[in-house]
Amino acid sequence: MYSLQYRPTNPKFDVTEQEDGLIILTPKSGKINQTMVFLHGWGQSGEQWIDYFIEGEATPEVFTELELF
Amino acid sequence: MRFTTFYNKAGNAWCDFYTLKFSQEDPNLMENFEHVKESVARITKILDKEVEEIGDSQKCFMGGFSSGGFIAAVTWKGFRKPLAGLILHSGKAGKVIPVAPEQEFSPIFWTHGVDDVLFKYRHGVWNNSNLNTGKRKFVHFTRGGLGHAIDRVIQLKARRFIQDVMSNPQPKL
Repeated sequence: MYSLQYRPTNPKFDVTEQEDGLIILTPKSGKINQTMVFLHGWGQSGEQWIDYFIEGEATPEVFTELELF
Repeated sequence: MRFTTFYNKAGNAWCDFYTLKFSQEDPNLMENFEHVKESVARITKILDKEVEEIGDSQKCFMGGFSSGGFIAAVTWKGFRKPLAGLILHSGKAGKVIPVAPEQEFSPIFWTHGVDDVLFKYRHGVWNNSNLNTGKRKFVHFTRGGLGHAIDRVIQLKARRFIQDVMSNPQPKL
């Protein structure tokens, strides 16, 4: 099991997590020109990749370590 | 997502690994392929939904990192509509798995650290270089000092690749 401790703070996106673990980032405004399905690596979760898609505003302090046990 | 063990740690994985030891004779022995099929089927459904929502498969990218990159590449290879492209970081595409004709022109952005100690660069080259067919936009980026990771430079290059692809669409099949 793992606990998710990500707290999205970026004001440009709505971040939703579905029951199956799928995390969806949706811009709050503007036209969506393209989309991407992105898969995390071993031992990770989608939260760790949110800053991949958000330029500039997702600072390291909003991410905390996942607790694996 | 299932759990497995690796270096005595538990973690999320798209499939169980038998070993990370590279076998040039049969590199697919590294993963449990039944798990791979399950994960690819699940991701294909998500991708189908994305295509339906945006209304054009050539506006949808498939991407992933490490073992997620592998599942992303296998999903991309088998997807029966032309995708905007594949973004593959520190992963392999599974050399023996065929590419669907729909992805003939689908662009690829592939990064792999020269100093990756987990999945070695030479293994990435052996697995992925045949994707550079000359028919598609194929961009590869690496550099010394880069390990099994994505850094800010790669993020920015990936964004630029996506922008380039979207402003220069591939031929419609």
